[in-house]
Amino acid sequence: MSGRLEAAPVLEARGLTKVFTVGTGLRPQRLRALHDVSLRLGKGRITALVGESGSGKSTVAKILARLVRPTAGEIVLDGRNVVAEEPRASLAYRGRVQMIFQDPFASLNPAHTIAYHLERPLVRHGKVRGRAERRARVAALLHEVGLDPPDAFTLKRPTELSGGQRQRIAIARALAVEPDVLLADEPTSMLDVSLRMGVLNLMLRLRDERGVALLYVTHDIASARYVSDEISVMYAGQIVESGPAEAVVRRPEHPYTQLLLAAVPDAQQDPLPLPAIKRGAPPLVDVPHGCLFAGRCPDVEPRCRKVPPAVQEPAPGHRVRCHLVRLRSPTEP
Amino acid sequence: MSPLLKNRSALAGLGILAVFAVLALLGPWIVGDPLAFVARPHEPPSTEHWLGTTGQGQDVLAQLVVGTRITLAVAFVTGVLVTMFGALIGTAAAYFGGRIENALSLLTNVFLIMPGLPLAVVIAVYMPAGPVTITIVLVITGWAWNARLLRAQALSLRERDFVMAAIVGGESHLRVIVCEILPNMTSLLVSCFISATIYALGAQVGLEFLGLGDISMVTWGTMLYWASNDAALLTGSWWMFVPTGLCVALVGFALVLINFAVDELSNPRLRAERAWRGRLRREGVRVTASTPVLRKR
Amino acid sequence: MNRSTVLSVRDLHVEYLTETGSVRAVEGVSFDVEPGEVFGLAGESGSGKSTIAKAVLRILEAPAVITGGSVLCQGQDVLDLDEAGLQRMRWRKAALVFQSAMNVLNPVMTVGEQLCDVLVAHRPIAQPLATDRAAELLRLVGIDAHHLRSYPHQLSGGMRQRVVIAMALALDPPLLIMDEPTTALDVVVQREILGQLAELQAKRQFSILFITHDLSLMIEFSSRIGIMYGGRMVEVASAGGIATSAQHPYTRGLLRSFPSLRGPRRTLTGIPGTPPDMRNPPPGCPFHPRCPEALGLCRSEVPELRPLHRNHHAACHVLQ
Repeated sequence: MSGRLEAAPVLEARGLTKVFTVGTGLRPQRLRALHDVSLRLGKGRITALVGESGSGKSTVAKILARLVRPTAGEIVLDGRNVVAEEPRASLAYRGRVQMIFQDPFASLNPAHTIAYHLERPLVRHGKVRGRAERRARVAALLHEVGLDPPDAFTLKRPTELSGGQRQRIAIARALAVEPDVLLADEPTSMLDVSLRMGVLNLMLRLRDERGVALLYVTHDIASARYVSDEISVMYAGQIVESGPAEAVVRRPEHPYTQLLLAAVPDAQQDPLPLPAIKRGAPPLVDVPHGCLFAGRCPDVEPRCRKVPPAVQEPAPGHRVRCHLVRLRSPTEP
Repeated sequence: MSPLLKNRSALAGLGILAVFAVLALLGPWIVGDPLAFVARPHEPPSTEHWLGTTGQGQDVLAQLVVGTRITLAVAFVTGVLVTMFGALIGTAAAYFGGRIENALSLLTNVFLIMPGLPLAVVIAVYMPAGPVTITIVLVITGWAWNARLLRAQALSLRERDFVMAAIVGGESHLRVIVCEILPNMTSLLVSCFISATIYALGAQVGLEFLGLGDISMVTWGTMLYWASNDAALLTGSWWMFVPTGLCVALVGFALVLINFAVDELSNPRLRAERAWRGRLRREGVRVTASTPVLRKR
Repeated sequence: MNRSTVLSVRDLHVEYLTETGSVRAVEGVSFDVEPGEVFGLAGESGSGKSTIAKAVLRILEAPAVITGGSVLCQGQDVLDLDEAGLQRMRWRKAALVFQSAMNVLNPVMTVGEQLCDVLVAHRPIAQPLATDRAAELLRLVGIDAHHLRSYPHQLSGGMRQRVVIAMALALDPPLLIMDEPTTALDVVVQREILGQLAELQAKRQFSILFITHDLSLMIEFSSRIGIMYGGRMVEVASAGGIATSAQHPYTRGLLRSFPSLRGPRRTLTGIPGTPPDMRNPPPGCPFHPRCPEALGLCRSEVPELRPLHRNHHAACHVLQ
């Protein structure tokens, strides 16, 4: 992001593209899940990736976790392109980049105890020597995620715990290797509402105390605003708007962001009228030329359908992929 | 293990198996030499020879008891090997996907469509007759079925987040397969083992009946071979094959009972439903498609 | 309760019988749904709200048993009906819209065939008439009539949910029960569908029993709201009353769990602890283990739902 002095990012995605071949039979289709996605995850910062289902946000997380191979693009860790250097993720990479999954009922193995889940990464990455140290570390991890006393949890199996507790265990497991980057894929969307703030606040604490670079993938832009420093909005596999959280939420430039913000229910205020945007699904197969949102945009112009929009920067750090963005002068609010 | 022991089907099945296990282990010391000539051939059951004599004048009961050991050993060893190969290949196919999966699936399908019996005959002709050959033959012709089954479940487990989490944690392929995926397949593995053993028992007896086993050894299958050879049906000597057949059927039945019990245990919903039906019946409420009303107040 | 009340639930008890004992999912819940209003039932895991939705139509599956109370649907007690009576009541007096349309629509039948099925099953009419009515229903929910020939997989998630709503409205029931109808959908589609539903409701004057865990959404959409926790009703008030002057500590805690988009950025705390395990519920008030204001009485005695002021009831010892 130009215009602002910033430390080098810990993990960076450059131009990530992912095409899936779907459908069996004689006519397999190409599904373009991601196109030219670039992200920077900075130390001690939370970056939110907001989008609806089908936007490609989970695919970005999976590619950064190296569970899925990108069709094109680079993943840069500390300045080195890992996709080129290690076709298969090394143990070193795994020790620095960890992931938290969406479903707390599926991300823990029902056949193993909690102690096993937390001890395995410690042993695998050589973080402890001997049983006493192992036990102490497990207890410390449980305490860090707010599960006390540790002995009440170590011998239990996942099926004996609630969703909120399981998600905290999943976070503890990710923290065991002392990662620099945490990729959280919709960590609260399957939790009860009363438990979500606890997990979000835990993420804030991890950012402040451990200085992790956190990627928060979500469909809920309200929680993204609560927790993150930067927000990137995705539509049809592309980032259409990104910038500081307050800027994106208060002065959205892209019509899709405006639609998203207007559609979110807010208990404290009257609902805003939805902008006049046509109903439609994001085009992932048979991708049109030009802007991917052109089919729904109320302000569409002929050039929108022919030429893909370049990324504009109406305010420092605030970038939008749209032809019609006004470039504001610095004195405007 | 303990809930298994509380289940009636399991208890019955385990009981029957226990009897045969005792026979297999201790039997040969109790009965006499099965191959010795003890009385006139084709003698019906009497107080001296409880199951009569064979066409060669040998004691049927002695043969039955001594034959238990080899027959059951072959059946269980085959069951274990078939399940192991099936698990290994099926789970590997599911886990790796892509070209490896295609290759392993092709291998599985080839072995599936190979006709078992002719292949068994061909192999038996070229190899020395005996229980080892039979085991090998049965494993070769039997592993593919379980591989398909286990692959299906491994596929659905592979997509679960905890497998992804283990991969992101840096675990090796082997570790993920053995420590993450397989432990969640225990009930299917047990079920596969039991059905493989039942298959092995029946197929083994069948092959030996056809004369493909070592006919100089005493097993349930060779007993049936000799019974047929000695015209047991023509002479009406039912004691030469009916008890043997009954034993095969009993062991198979015991295994099926245990299979049912394992199925029920791994499906708690079935148990809950049974409890619910029982309670409603006791209160005299009819079970219909709609939620019943059972007033306690 | 006046005679025109669309739904009147009194002291409803529902249990799940398992071999290890019974789980008391709903304990003594009472509420009314008046004509033309949207009554929202909010709660989390173990609250019992989804159980109530299905209990009203008696379509809970084994091992559920209704163990007490009454459910008066336009004057008739659903709990006294026999199988034939239930068939006549369902879809005509009350219809249910499930959470996941994908699980409700038959993938091998077209949309038109399924709509006609519903129409013909409850009211014998000739096929061409049924098709006309089906087309009318689709238009009602904003779907073009040519989709009568479409299969469910050819429609988007939002459209499928609209079809399910159309099916529920086929026989003009006075009561529509909706159990998390938009949870699986995008926020934008959710807004569109609920907007359309509000218009429909204003035109045709049916009532909605709206069940969801999303309290913000419920406050926007409902006229009155009942908050459930641990199988009991803990607060009932108008939507405005809940939003601005919630009394029960659980409701207040819930409202503190929704980060606002437009207000100032404040630190929120949510509610510490975990939802109750309904196999082993806590004695006394189900919320007391997590309640910041719990008294000694809360641990032993279950609070009753009492009126605090006009049209605002709460079950809490601290408030009394």
